Amino acid sequence: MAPSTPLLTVRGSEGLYMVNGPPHFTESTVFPRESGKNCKVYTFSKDGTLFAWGNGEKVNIISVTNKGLLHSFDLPKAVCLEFSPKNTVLATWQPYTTSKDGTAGIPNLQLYDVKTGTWLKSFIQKKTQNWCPSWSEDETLCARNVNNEVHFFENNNFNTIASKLHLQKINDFVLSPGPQPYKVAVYVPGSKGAPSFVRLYQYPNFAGPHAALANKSFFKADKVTMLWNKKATAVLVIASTDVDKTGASYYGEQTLHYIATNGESAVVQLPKNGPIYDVVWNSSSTEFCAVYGFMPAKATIFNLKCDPVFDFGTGPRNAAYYSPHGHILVLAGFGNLRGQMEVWDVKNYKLISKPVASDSTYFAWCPDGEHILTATCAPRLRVNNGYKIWHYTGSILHKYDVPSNAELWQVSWQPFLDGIFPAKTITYQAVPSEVPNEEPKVATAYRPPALRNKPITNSKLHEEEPPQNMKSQSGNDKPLSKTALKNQRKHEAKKAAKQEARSDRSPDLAPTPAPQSTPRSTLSQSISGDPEIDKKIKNLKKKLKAIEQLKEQAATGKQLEKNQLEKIQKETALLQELEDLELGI
Amino acid sequence: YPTVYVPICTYTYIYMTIIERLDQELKLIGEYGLKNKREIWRIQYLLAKIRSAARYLLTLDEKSPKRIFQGEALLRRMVRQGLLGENEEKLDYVLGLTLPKLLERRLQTKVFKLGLAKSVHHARCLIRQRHIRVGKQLVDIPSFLVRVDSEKHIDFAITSPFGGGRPGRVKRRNLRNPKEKKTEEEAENNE
Repeated sequence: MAPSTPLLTVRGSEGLYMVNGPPHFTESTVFPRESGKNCKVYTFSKDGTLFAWGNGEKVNIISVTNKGLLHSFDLPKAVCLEFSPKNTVLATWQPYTTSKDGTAGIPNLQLYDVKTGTWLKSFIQKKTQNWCPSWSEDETLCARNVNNEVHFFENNNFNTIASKLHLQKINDFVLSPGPQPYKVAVYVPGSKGAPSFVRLYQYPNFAGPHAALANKSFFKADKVTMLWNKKATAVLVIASTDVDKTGASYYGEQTLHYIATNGESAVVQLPKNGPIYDVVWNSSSTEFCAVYGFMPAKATIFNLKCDPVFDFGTGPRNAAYYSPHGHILVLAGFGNLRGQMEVWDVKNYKLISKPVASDSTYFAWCPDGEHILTATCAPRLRVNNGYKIWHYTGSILHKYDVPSNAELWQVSWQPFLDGIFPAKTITYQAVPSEVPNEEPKVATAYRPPALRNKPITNSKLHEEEPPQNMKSQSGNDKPLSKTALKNQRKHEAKKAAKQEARSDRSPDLAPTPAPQSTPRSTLSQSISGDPEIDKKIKNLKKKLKAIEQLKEQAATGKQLEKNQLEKIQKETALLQELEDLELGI
Repeated sequence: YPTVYVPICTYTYIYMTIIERLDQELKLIGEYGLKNKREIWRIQYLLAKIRSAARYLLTLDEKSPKRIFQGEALLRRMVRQGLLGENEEKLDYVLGLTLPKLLERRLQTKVFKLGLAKSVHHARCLIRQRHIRVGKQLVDIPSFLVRVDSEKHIDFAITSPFGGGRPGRVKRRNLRNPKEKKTEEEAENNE
């Protein structure tokens, strides 16, 4: 059932419609375009087979695969929709209103059965925050936070509460992902004198003094974001205060805590002071990436012991996104930053590309792990609304700007379950595209009339730190020994001679690409953007040269050793490999 | 000889020479929540010993075995204590150490910086009242100099009410005697 491309849903003042994903980008016929401005909400099911939307009069569900309308509910005021993980229940929420004579209003959180279209249960839910009940991944558990308790329902039976977790003043909870046994992370803010704490419990052991799997208390917290990893072994807690008492930042102060289900807990020491912008787990739950520090922010990958594994240096970034397969990490700066993105290969820690998506408010990876959607949406930004679809190597594949009076409210990919799209090997070369990449003009610094046309003195505002693997070796100030110096000089002389030879033969050869890869390609046309293939070609050429020398020696009559004879025999095989590599460029 | 009565105003001249040091010390006391000047002088003495060791080693020849051995040991201790970074392992950096750097390593400042307390003074109370542990060991000394690898394991003690133990004495008493308190109040009101 794996379609070739995920669909893209666009909701704006032009209406609600779907677009086929890469490589076609034509409007999709799966969903009839709904014109009109009343579409306030839409949602896909977790596996992308069902689509529900509210258009101000009704809430409709259609099946994406056979394009048939399944059900229609009369809910004019629905503002939020959510499917349960296995598509059995649809939850809808409308704002809570009390009737004029002061009696309690109608319950505003409704649950419907998707297969039969019948109404299951409704609750009163006054707050929009955390309105949706949380389901476990196989739907055996559903949990809801009510007053000082968390109510658990089993097997979608909402008429009886299976168990309750009672904690005075419980504020927030998150169910763990993954299979049984399920765990819950709960947060209770502190009152005067008492600290706030996050506790991990295993369902259904809630009672008793030793029920908690782990407990972490801290004082500086008003609000907390809890992030489970996929394997449900640990939670990362970003505790933030609204006011920073030391006056360092008016966004408040954030601290990052790590709590594991085996009871270990630690505060993650971040080398740079400043707010924590973003923290993400990787898909194998072994590492997490944090973006933190006063601008230019640092990004670092930590392991489960909270030790830094790799440091990306500093840069203009405040968000991190792993690709669905977990091989690629994008560090981006949206919001008050210009939109610079860095795409990194996390297995080898190499930079792939650095696209710039200016004025973006939304970023999403396509479920196929190759394409990226960035969009500028109202009401965050009302001008230049539109979306762009990129390939991760940095080229724009498709661009759509809404006409100047219209607005774009929401764009998103159709979700798919993990594993439907296979993981492909990472290329470093930019995919060809027809859309020109319009980079905004680089603003030159203002120079007062007295200092114009004078040599530029480079003064930097911030101390920029390069990524860990590009830092110059600190041992270089050791004076080189005599032989090392001699070798260095010989090396440089050879390089200079080669440069001259190359410039004599072909002055119009294309300029060699990015500074990191120095393709010391000799006369032939082996200039490709991919440094891996270049290395292999270089090695093969070296071997062929050695064989040539041996052949000359044999011709002059010298007796060759056995291994030298074997090398000569391998020549044809090497020539074949070289041809393949060069053709493959 | 009749005793010469020194008029009090000569003390102001003495005061002018030391006013800067007094200001600095008071700032440090405020910032790190120290109890008295002695706590500052204690750290100053520690720093002076470290610096004089580094100074002496720097006068030795670069390749002398004594300098190499003792220099490496000193640098290792400094890195372990968290006073020097990983890329600062040279004797010259030891000479650049300052008081604030040493004061940052105290358990009192660490507890505050890690968010376990609301202020440095609150941190000192928590430590002294046996709520804080480092690793598995309960530590109630505010001037405990924390090592780099112990920094991650500063947490509330297991027996502390903040760390998951039973509630403290006052809370237990109130839970036990709320009815008694109420009836006492009623009796008082009636009388």
